[in-house]
Order: sequence, then structure tokens, then C-alpha cells
Amino acid sequence: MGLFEDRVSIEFNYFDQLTKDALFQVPMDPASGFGLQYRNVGKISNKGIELAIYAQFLQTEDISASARFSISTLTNKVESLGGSAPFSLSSFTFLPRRVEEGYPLGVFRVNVPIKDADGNYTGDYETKLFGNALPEQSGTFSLNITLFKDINISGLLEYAFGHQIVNLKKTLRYFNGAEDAANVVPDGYSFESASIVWLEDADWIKIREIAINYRVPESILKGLTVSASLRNVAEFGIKTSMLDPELNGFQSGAANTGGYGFLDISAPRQLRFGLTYNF
Amino acid sequence: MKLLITNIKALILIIMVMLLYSGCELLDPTEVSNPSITQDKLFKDATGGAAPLITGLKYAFAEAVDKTTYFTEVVSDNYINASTYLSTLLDYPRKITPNDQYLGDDREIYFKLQTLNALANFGLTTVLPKDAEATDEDKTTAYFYKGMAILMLCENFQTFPLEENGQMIRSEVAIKSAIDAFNTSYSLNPTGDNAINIKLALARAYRLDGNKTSSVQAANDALALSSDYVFYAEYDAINLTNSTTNYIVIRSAGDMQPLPRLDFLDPKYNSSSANDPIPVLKMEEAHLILAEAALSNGNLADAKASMINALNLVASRETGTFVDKDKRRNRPNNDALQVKADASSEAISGLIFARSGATIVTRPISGTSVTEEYINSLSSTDDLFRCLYLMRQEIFFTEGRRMSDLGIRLPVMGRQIEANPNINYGDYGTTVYVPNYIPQENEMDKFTIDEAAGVVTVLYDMNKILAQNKSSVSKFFQ
Repeated sequence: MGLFEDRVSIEFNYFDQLTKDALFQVPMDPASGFGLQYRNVGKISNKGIELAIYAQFLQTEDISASARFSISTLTNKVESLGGSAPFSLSSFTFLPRRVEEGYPLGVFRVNVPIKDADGNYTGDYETKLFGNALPEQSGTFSLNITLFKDINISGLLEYAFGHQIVNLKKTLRYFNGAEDAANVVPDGYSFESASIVWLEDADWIKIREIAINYRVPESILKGLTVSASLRNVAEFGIKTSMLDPELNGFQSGAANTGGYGFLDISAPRQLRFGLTYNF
Repeated sequence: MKLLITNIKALILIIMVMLLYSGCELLDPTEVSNPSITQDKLFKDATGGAAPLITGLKYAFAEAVDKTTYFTEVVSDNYINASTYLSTLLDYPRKITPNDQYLGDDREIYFKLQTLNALANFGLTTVLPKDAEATDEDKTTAYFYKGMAILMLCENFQTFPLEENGQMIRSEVAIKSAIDAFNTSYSLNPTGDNAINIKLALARAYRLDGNKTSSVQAANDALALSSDYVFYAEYDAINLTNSTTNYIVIRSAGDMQPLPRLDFLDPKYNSSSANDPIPVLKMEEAHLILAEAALSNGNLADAKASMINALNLVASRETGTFVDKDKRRNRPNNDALQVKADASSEAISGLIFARSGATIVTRPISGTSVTEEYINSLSSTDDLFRCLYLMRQEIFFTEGRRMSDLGIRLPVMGRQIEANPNINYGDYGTTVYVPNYIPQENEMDKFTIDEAAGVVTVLYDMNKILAQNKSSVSKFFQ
């Protein structure tokens, strides 16, 4: 939909999708002697919206500026397993991603330490289904400003909220006695019995790029453009420790819901300069 | 010229049509066949199926023994998980759950024992009856492995199904199926190594069943056939390794460390290529079963005689050497240190080796610190029971037997509960069973080092505790 002579445009989508006969590697009864078997089981729903707003909010002879904002939401749920037993996706057994009716695909099964009335740990724990490996919300924001018709400044920001990740890097640091990870497990608990400590909110906001282009006046040299850009500029709102939550180190084939961060290295910050000459 | 071009075009067209028609067969005229799939015709005619079945059973057996070994050794007081990716809860037996990091994995003990049983059943019901070339020896072997699968399930789990979507069967009942399988195997081939295997396996199964008379009979039968027989699960460096070796020999991170009392037996296997066989049935067990039976009958003299027979056999076993570079992180590493089995026990020398580059003696079949003189010095049932279970602990070290002797039984794996509609979390056998006499937390593995006094003191002498609870520990005493 376009408004104000198309200086503002809005795009809106709503989706409500039901996947039937989803294909999974379903674990078999161990007494059968078989491990996994591909089966069409169950129904998975995906609901959400996609909203994009574009606005050219400034337009003068010397300056023009526009911005674009987009947001998409996703509510994922396993509606039915068609009579099959709930099962784990290929993952780490100490903190598996599960396929369970009524929960998001790949919900984490965690062990949560129990505290007494005084807030002290009892040594016991309860096993819960918790979290979501898929972001509930993600989107972008971009800005584009042109000055004096020759200078263009642009920026791009992306974000994802509402999901969790297993911090496997922290587990490695714990096992190797690294100071920053040595005490994350409460006294009286172990790596497994307090597995909730390895699950972290994976929200992130990243400024992907800021770029500037300068078209050299024709009076100096016709066709020359000078540019500079800074990529992977900055990150905000990250709650994971020692880990880039955007990177999924462990990806399983059949249902790649992410959810495990391992030893991947974030994309490096890059400063680029360029000269473009058009004949 | 125009006619020539037209003819060439026609010829090209004809060739293209032929290529299209011939399709892949022209490019690859061999018939496509997939040797990896189970063909439907197998259910009617399985000719030639026996040979790969037996190979598969040996593989599945070796895998099951391997997994059982390192998993249960850590649960028991034999080893601690110093720094491996094995589950960190295994040293805390009461905290083991069906969804434990390792127990819950389909590459581990429960799944592999069930796989062995399922494969043996498949062979006995589907392959061997329809393979005209199958021999009684093939059936003998299949029944033997079926018996071993159920026996090892019974030794390590309280209850489990034995068929897909089946009802849980308590180990007290399931052990009868193992005994039936062994007896059938024996009836098909009562000669050679199979006869010794079966007699040793029956002695072990009847002992678990509490059938003292039959256990003693089978042990004596085995001894009449051989004095020094050993049956191994076998491995090789390429197809299937003895993965316990990764933790006790290669030890890239310190990995599994033994109780100081058992330091002189570590590592049992010494190959860096991880192809050492694991003893599963050996004649020492016949002597130890006879000793236990005699002890339960109050016949201390016969018990001592059988224990000394076991000692003599152990002394005759081969030894090896190993250059051990292990740093023994936070562990005693000084051969001058003495060890006390608990605070009130006598300090004993020679149980701890100096490592860090020294060449040490290994005992790939059997080893023990017990001496004939010591056995003869004992005069009470409890002291002899303690000594007998110490001998069992040492002789079966790193063979996956100690956890069962301690009375600990694992829960079935989580997938077994979730995939079988007859089983629910909380049912009998879905939680770990740890007898009350087992110390709390990981105290079975605890010890202190007094460098000044030159003594390592283990917190609990588990064999003394077993002796104090012998009516719970040994079915021969019930």
C-alpha cells in the first residue's frame, strides 16, 4: 500500500501454515534393534506476520532521506505427533532439543535446580521443557541519506529476539577449568543436573554496515566515485557469554532449528575503501 | 549440398533419439543393485545369510561389551571420570537418570545390549530357518549371543522389554530366558570351545539367578573341560575399537582414573591402536563361584581352596608392559606410597605405581593383590567374603562387572520409555537402583593422600561394606 505519492509504503502479510506429514528421523524402540527411521509424523503449525514500512521522510533539493523497517514474527508449534512418542532431534543428550506436542519444534529439555523456601539450592532438580531455538521475532532497519546529490550515506541493522541457545563454548571452558566458567554450576550440582545454566537467551542486534559514497563532481573528474564502508560495525543486547548467538555451530540435517552455539568465529569487522570509475 | 546437410541433420536426430531411448543403460549398462538393503525375498529364502549374521552378531557383541565396560566401570568404585566427555553423573550413581547424557544415547550400553538381543532373535527366527546352508554351529552361536545379551541386561538393569513394544520383564524372570538360550546352544553343540563358553556363562547366569546347585555344577563342568580358558570380545583398529582404551591408555585429558587401591591394575589394556580384546568369560570365575558357594555353605576350607586355585590361575596369566606417561592429575604417582582400603585397614605397599614415563607391568587377563598367605590368615566368613569380592573386583577389573557386584542397577534409557506404550516414567526399572549400603554422592571414589606419612587412605572399603551386607549382595547367602 502506498501513501503520500508513494513516499510511504507499507507491506503486510499474515501467514498461518500447517505442515502435515512432517518428515523426521524418529527414534525406534531400542528393543527392536533399530535406531532411527524416517517417518512422516505429525503436524507443525507456523503462524506470524511480516510487516515492512518504507518512508522517504525527507526530500529537499540538497537532502533526501529514506528508511525501511521490517519485522517478522513466528509462532511455531508441534500440533500433533500422530500418535508417535515424543523424541529428541539429533543433539546433545545432556540438553536435547525435543519434538513434543504443544511446544515449539526443538524445545529444550533442561534440568533446573530446585531451591528451598530460603532460596538455597536443595541438590534436587526438575526436568522441564523450556525455550525455543527459533527466534520469535526478527527484522531489519535500514537508512539511506543523500546529501547534495553526490554524497550517499547508508546503514543496515538487523536483529532477532525471543530464542535461546545452548552455549557449548562455555561447557568446554567449564571442563577445562577456565575461570569465567568454573563456577557457573551451583554447589551440589553437576554439568548435567543443572543443565539450565548452559541455556542462554540468544537475542541479538547487529549493525551490519555503514557506508558512504562520494561521487566526485564532473568538473573534477567525470565518472569517479569514492567509497568507504565499515562492515560488522557493532553488536547490542547480546546476553550470551563468550558466544556469538547468531552462529549455530551444530546443525542437524532433518530439522535444522539451530539452538547450539559451539566454537564458530563471528564475521570480522571490515573497513573497505573503493574507487569506481565509469568510462 | 543442401541434401547433404539435411541428411546430416536427420542422422544427428536419429542418434539423439537413440540416446534418449537407451537412457542410463547406454551410459552405464550394469544392472543397479543395492547390497545394503534387506530384500523382501530374505523372508522366503535367506540362503547364504548365516555367515554375515554371525559376523554381525560378533560385532554387536563386541560393541555391547565395550559400552558396558567403560560405562559401568565409572559408575562403580573402580574408576572415576576425571575429565572425559562421559556423563559427569556416572560417579554419582543416585543421580543417573534414563536421559543421562550417555545412558540415553543410542550408541551406549542399553541400546547396544538390546541391539544384540534383537539381532540374535532376527537371526534365529528369520535368517537361519530360511538358510539351507545354515549349520547347527550357526544356531549355537546365535543362541549363545542371545543368552549373553539377556545375561548382561540382567546384570545391569532391573527390568526391560525383550521385544519391540513388549512388556517390561524383571531381570529375575528374564535370566531364565538367558539360561534357556545357553542350554539350547549347548544341546546343539556340546563340544569344543562352545561347551566351555556355555558352561562358564551358565555358571554366571545361575549365580545371578541364585541357583547355587546349578551354578556350582556348571562351574565344575567348565573346569573339567579346561583349566585356563578365556573367551574374549574382540576388536580391531579399523572396524571396531576397544573404546575403553581411549580413556585408560591414550588419556588425552587424564580421562578415567582408578581407585588408588587398584592403581597397579591400570591400564588393563595397553594398545594405542585400541584393539585389545576384553575378557568376557574366563576360568577364574568358575573358581570364584565355587568359593562363594562354599562360603555360603559355611565351608570355609573349600572356599579358601577355590580362592587359592583362582590365585594360582591368575599367577599363570600373561603379563605385558606399558610405558605410562600419564601425569596422574590429582592422583598418587609415587610407588613409595602405601594404600589403606579404609581408615581402619592395614597400609599395603606395592599397589601404586610411579608413572610419568616409567615402564609398568600390565595384566590384560587377570591380576590381584591377594596372596595365598593372606587367604590362609582369614578365619571368619565376613573376612573371606570381603577378600572374595576384592578378588572379583581385581580379577574382573575393567571388564564391566563391578557395578553389578555392588548391586547397582541402571534405569532403562529414556527412549525405551518414550517409544514403548507399555512403559511410563516412574515405573519400576525406570529409575536407578542404588542399595542403601552404597555411600552417598561420589564417596565410593573418595580418598586422601598423606604425603608426609606416605599413605593413601580410601574413604570406604566397599568390599568390607559388601561383606557386612552379604545377604543382600550375594543370592547364595539369601
